[in-house]
Amino acid sequence: MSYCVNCGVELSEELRSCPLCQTPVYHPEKEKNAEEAVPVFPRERGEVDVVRNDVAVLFSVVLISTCLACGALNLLVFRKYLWSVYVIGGCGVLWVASLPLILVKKPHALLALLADGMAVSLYCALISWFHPGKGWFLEVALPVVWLCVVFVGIFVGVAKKMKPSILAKASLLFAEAGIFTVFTELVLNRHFAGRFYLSWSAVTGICCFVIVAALITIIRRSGLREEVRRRMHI
Amino acid sequence: MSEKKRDDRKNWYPLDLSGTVYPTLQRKDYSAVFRLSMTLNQKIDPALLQQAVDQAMPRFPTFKVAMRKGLFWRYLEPNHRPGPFVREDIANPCMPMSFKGKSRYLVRFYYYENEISMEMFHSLSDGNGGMCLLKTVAAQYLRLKGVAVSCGEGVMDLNQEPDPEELEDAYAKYARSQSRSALRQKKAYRVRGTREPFYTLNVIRGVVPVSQALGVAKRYGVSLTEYLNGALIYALMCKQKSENPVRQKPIKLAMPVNLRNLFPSRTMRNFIVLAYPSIDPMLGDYTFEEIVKEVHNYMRYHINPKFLGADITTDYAVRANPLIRIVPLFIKDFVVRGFYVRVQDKQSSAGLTNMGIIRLPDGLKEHTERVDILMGQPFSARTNCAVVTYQDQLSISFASCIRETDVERLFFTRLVQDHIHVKIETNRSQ
Repeated sequence: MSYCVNCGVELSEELRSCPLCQTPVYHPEKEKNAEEAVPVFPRERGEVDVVRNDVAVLFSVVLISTCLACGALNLLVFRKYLWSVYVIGGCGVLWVASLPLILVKKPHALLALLADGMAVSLYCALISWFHPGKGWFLEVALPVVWLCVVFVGIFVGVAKKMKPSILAKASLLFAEAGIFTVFTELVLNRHFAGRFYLSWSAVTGICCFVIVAALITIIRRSGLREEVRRRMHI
Repeated sequence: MSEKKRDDRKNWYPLDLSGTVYPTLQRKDYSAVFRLSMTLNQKIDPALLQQAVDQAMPRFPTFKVAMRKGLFWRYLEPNHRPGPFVREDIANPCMPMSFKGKSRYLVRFYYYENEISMEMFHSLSDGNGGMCLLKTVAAQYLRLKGVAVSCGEGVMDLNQEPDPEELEDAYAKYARSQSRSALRQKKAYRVRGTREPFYTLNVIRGVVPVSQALGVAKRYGVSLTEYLNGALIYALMCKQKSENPVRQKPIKLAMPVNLRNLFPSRTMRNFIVLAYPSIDPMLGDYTFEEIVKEVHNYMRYHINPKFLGADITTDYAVRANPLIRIVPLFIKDFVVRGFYVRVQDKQSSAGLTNMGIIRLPDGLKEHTERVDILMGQPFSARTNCAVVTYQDQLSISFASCIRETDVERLFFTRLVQDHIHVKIETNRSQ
């Protein structure tokens, strides 16, 4: 039998500290008793059974019926172009993007992102099948889509594993945005003009660079960091 | 059409007055669920308990139901799905209860060592109705074990058809007052704390000898409920004072009153109304004795059929208003939730319910060691207290979804200061 020296209450056998005031329990026999005592409350945690299949089924049915209706309209009524392929492809991308969120309680972010990247790539491939142009799919679409996937993946991975501050997240976001705009323009110019050069993205890239430099300075200087925290608190 | 389906078309139940509010407050991480537990003197056999549940449930047609949405109101319809299934107990009681779960039952049964626990969605019944179901299940469990348990004291005869009075909405019967009470009250002090993550409900339970607690209450010249109300108000007052607010707010408790003691009814459904014992620290510093006297005077003045009749008539009149009745359910949900969040939830600092003395019939009494009650997850970040008495044990359970334990500590140390022995148990991780 143990009592809390601070509150004066008796504590059940398995408690190692008082739950009311967190004062540790000192009892020479405590260690022995604590192992023997059956806990008053169970240790296993429970979770609610949520039926998510219904929403997934409803969502899938809505998308499939949209695809079927557009396909039928395209084949029977508006037959000039194969426009329904774009709608069907779009529905496919939407389905791939939403299904993990509906079906799985905690979807694996990187796997979901990989699936999204593949779905968008396939959609672009489908469009390039009808409009091959000068090889825009391989030269522009694929690099831009997969750089986007890589950058989002890095951001999500860093945010989940390292749990950085808001300022650190913002600096990573701006750094990625700067690199992404520069890369996109380089790829576009290479495709359309046949050479690498920079114009508008130099401005956005420099803006992002300045913001990143300012944020890193704020992060490294504790006085500045506190000042920002004080003024920007919500 | 099968006979069962034809019966279901007739046997549906509109939600009672209290029951109407709880589903509108339903969130992904919140359900109005309460828990009742009975500790027997022997380890629970899950297979026999399941058998007892299966045999007892049909006797309670208003509990063997699923929640459905109509165009204007929700309602309960008979549920013939298998279940409810008994499960091994978990560390985080009163989890949210989905209306669209696999079996759609609004009742859960758990077992752990010697303890049988039952959780119920508040739209089905209050603690009294729920206790009848738990007692009946426990009695049936013991019968299956070969113990002779008689009926009575809330243990229902499973061979008897349910009395129509058990299924009635007693509010409708007694909402006859000529007077109306105010719907809005002054805002009360609210405990601020760090919210625990989802699926965490902190329970701190104090077990107190009834004889000691009654002796102390007698010394103050009040009843046990009044004394415990006073102690909780005192704890909240100390907590507010320690926060050094610019302007202190009134301390108010939301205390469900069992109307069956005032209006004769044998209903198994909700039949409670909230009373709000309070003090206003802006009037000056209160000593504990003054708080207890204040609560005592409030209870004596308010807890009577006249005042409480006016309260239920006011609430019932809102529900019975034809203009409100024709409003579609989703608009009602929106308005009721808004009213609850902005007004109702803010007019009390904590909840305290006292189930009173639990009496058990012969056979069950000899095999029952303890009865506990848990008020369930509070809607906002605060703490709720539930009290029940069985033999010489007074079980006081605090349920909260905040990390801080100041209110519980101040409450129990107040009891200790009055020389009451308190034994503390918790599900908090150490």
